Amino acid sequence: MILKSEHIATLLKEGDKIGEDDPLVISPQPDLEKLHASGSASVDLRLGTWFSSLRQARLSHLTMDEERLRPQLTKSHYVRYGSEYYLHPNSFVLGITLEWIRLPTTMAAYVIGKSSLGRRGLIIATATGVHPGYTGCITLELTNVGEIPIAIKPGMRICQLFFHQVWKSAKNVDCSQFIGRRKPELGNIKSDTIAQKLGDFPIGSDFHR
Amino acid sequence: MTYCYLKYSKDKIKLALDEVGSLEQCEFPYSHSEIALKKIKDFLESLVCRLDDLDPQLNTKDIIQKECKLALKALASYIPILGFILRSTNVRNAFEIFIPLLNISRKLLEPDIDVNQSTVKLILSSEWKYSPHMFVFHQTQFQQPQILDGFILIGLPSYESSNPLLIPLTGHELGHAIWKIKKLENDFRVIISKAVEKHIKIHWDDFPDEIKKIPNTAKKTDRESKTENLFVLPTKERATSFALKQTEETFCDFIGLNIYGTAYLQSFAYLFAPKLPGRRSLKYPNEVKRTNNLVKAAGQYGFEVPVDYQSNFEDRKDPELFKIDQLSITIADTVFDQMVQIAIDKAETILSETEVQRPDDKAIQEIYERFKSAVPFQNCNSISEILNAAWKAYEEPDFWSQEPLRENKDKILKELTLKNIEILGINQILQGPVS
Repeated sequence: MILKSEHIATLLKEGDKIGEDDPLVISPQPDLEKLHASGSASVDLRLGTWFSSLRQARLSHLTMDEERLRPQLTKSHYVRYGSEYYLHPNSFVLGITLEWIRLPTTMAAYVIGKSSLGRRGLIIATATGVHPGYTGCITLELTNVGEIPIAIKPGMRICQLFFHQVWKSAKNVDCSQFIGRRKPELGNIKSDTIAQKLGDFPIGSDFHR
Repeated sequence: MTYCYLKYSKDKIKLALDEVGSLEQCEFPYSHSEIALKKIKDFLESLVCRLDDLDPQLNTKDIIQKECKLALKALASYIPILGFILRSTNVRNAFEIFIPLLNISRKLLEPDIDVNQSTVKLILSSEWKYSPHMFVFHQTQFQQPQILDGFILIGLPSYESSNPLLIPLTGHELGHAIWKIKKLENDFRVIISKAVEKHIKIHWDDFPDEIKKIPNTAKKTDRESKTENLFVLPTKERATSFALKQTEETFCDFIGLNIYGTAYLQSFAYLFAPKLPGRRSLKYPNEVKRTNNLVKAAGQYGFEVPVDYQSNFEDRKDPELFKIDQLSITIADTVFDQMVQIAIDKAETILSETEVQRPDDKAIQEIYERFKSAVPFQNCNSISEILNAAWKAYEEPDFWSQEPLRENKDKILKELTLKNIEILGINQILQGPVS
């Protein structure tokens, strides 16, 4: 079930109370009155100040089975409020939400782009899921699929978060490697034993005859 | 003959200007580094123009030599600043602390001016040595041209420059700025000098014979001769100088303590416990005495001292000194002890005249409770309260019981703290322009 803005505003207000056991938090908090009155089913989030790009000149290619991506292959950028980051056509950069989010164990969320930005060629994320109990800022995958460069500014509304009620409350919190971060990170790709075995199978072996 | 050093000097400055040109291409996290760089660039260009105007046919060798020396001296004094500005752009730094720290700096250093009208500028950077460091530029600093007046440059240890738990140490560095701007050295020099004289007179009989020699020409009373005698004067001057420096450093500790409360004590222990390598620097009281003074001040200011705090520290050995220098430092150490209470009171008075508020226990507890839920506290009033809550959580081994928070506690706690500081900065920006 997708939550409506009135419900989200109520949960955020309750979550703001000190000592709340399993709160929903968005910090900095959106204007709850406006959210309550908006009639929408999502909350807008803003763009943070940190970005991370790949050092293209040092990479021949990326493989998707690396357990640990070497940190020197990415470069961090800090863009202060009031400044701009220019995203050129076909380029890709990781951004991060300004807001720190915490989901209760009874809720999950999806990060969705904003249509007004998408129509200008800015794609925000590919259905990023946020799991119950997650806490931290949310990494965004920003791509310009248009034909002219796009200036993006920290603090601008960049995406929206749709909240879902989880059918059964989970006791465990999200164990994502991205939890508790304020900067975007590529993260590691988990080892996959099935893919590993399939990949190790010798081509042209007797099995194929 | 043309003077080759004139060309050499101009070439050196031009190469430095080229380097400034490269630095201008950096991604600056905030405008103050850029403004400082532009000022240095303008200054170096003015040096080149000045040397260009020196016609070897019209000026004597002495004049040309002197101008070159002055220009190179000025250049040398700004090279470390260029490096500092370069490091201020490194993404290892926690840029989130800039706005809240600028706010505190402005309230402290220009208490009579609205924080948004203040001209105080801040450059946060890092140093490749394990000690916070600062340059202060103010009219009282006569050694260098006044092109960076109003700038405060604070550097944290490089690989810890994103560790928010060390931020309270910037309070000590701000103390140096207050010391200079309020010209406290003048006030304390008078008091210390008198105390040194008094000490010498009282302990005259204990002095070595070679120091007690009184010149025959001195037609003064025996009492005056004791402190004006040519052999005693250097001892007196050195003792005054050491005691003054120790008093300055201690005053700066008290400013840091006043701003950050218990968190200052904790970050101080993080930096100094159990013991820094090497011998004691005579500019500071030894660690145990320094810590005891902090604990005494904390008692007066009403801040909680961590349990068994003093047992974390050890004294370092004094450097090996000549007998006469040993005498100076013995006098300085004794006289310094008499300055501690004055410095405690002075720091308290100065802070009370500003809008910088001491950390509030209730607010710290609220932030701590939010940290328990692994979220920032929305309505923070001060960076100091955030850092006290962060230290409280950091010191608690079982602060989070649930995975993966428990396993990655230190890293997540530091990220959370910096995000909370950023939110404080955003609130401060929204309240009024910070330029």
